[in-house]
Amino acid sequence: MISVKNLQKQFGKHQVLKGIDFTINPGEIYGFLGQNGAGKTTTMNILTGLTAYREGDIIIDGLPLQGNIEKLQKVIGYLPEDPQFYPYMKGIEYLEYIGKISGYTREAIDKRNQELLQLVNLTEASTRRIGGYSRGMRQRLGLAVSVYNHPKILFLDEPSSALDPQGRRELLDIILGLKDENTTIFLSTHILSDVEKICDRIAILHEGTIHLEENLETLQEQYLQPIYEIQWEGDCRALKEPLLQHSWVDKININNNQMTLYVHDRKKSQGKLLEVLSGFPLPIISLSLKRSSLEDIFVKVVNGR
Amino acid sequence: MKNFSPYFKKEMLENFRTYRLLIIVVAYILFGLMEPIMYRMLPMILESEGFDPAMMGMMDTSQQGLLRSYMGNLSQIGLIIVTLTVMGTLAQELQRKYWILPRSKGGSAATMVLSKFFLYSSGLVAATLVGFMVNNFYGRVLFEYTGLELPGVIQSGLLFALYFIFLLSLLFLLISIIQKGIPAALLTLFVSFLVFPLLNNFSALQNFLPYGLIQESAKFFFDWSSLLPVLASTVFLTALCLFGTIRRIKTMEIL
Repeated sequence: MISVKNLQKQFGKHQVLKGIDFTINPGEIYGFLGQNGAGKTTTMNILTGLTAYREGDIIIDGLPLQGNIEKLQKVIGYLPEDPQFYPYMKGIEYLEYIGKISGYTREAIDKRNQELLQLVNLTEASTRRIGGYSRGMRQRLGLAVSVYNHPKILFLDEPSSALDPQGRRELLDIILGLKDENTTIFLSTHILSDVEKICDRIAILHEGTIHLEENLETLQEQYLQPIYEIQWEGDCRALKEPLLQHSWVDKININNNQMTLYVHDRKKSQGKLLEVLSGFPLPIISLSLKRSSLEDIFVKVVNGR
Repeated sequence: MKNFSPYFKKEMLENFRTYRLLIIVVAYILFGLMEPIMYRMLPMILESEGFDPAMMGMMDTSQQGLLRSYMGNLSQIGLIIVTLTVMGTLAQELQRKYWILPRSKGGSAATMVLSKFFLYSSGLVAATLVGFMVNNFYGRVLFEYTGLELPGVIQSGLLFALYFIFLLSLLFLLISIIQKGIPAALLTLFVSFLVFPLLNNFSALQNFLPYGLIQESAKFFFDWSSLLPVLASTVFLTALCLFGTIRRIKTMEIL
């Protein structure tokens, strides 16, 4: 659906993008992560045809971006990080304006406006001037604008940053609903828990290059830490010494009934661990392998660890 | 032009809600009205202050004189009002990035600029003509008729408005370059108040400077063939400024 090769962008002497490559498949939610100033918004502005680029090949929906911007703007939707609206306009008037620019008929505009106002929960506020909207309301109106033309590809730049927890949850539901309709979503956000909840694949942009691009499940598998959390039914301090006798055990921490067991090699220890643990007379309540959060992975990649 | 209608309607709504054009029209009418009324009241004011009312004889109270005086006010205070009122429409669009969402839906920079330009140009023409006619009407009512007829007033008003339309395009160009309203407005005023009068001293330039429209409009005698060079150069420069504005916005880096 989107293919980007060797994309470069420079602002003055500062090279923001140093040749990035990525591919987004149809119907996928692609999380685009990076620190502030990494070039995420610049990438989005380029892909939506709002900013020119010096070098690189971009193909969207089978068409090269260069020379097809107008055509492609009909199939894409864009929600900027802080969407700005004419403050003197009412919400409904703004949607009507967007509908006319998108080439909709009067009837189609009325129908679509009602659908979208309901979707983003702004029906009641639609007759109020946008100047009086909160940041969260503006963000929701921005989302309605971005999906107005039933886009095949939706670019969302920090869409939930201004929303309260309830609004965030609703937004994630809307995004998942759009995915069900086979919309391809390119999502940039700082809220990594949101990425974990909805993204299929992620890329981490750092210092102008993509440091990592992976399926989220594979990534979490790759970054699994060789640490087991074991909860016993009673005091497990007596088990520490016998466990430390095994060559694959590195370290053990105990806190009441909770044991944290560090191993040298997760794969090697996997088969032996259950066999050893079942030999103890104390029953086990739970055993789990500690998973790295996306935040851990992000910090590792960004810090080069 | 693609999407001109929604953009133009949006501009009309903006003016209806922000009163920009209304401020200009009211200012033009007030100036047009005040001129003959002040001239009419001046002898009484002078007398009450102990001056000789015969000093009024030094003033040109013909319709032509009143209109020239009105033009003088418009080209100074009027221009300040126009630039400071209009500057916000494009400056805010660029500074606050209002134009990004419509553009991401297929709206174009050219349509955005031209819809603003046509609306404010029409508003300026209308305000100028109404102001000129009000001034002329009250001049005829309050003073002796001196032979200035409506066609002359309208032709004069059109030339005068054309100069302001050129300045509007210059203001747009400067806003697109500087991306700030007030510095662009001050530069436009600087060009009109200082640069043009200075350049007007060079005889080779006189026939081509848009500033010549102000002088021509004050003559009330129109030899259109001799006006052709200044009209052509003004239209050309206006188109050039608009082209530059659109080009600059199209190639603007969005951060």
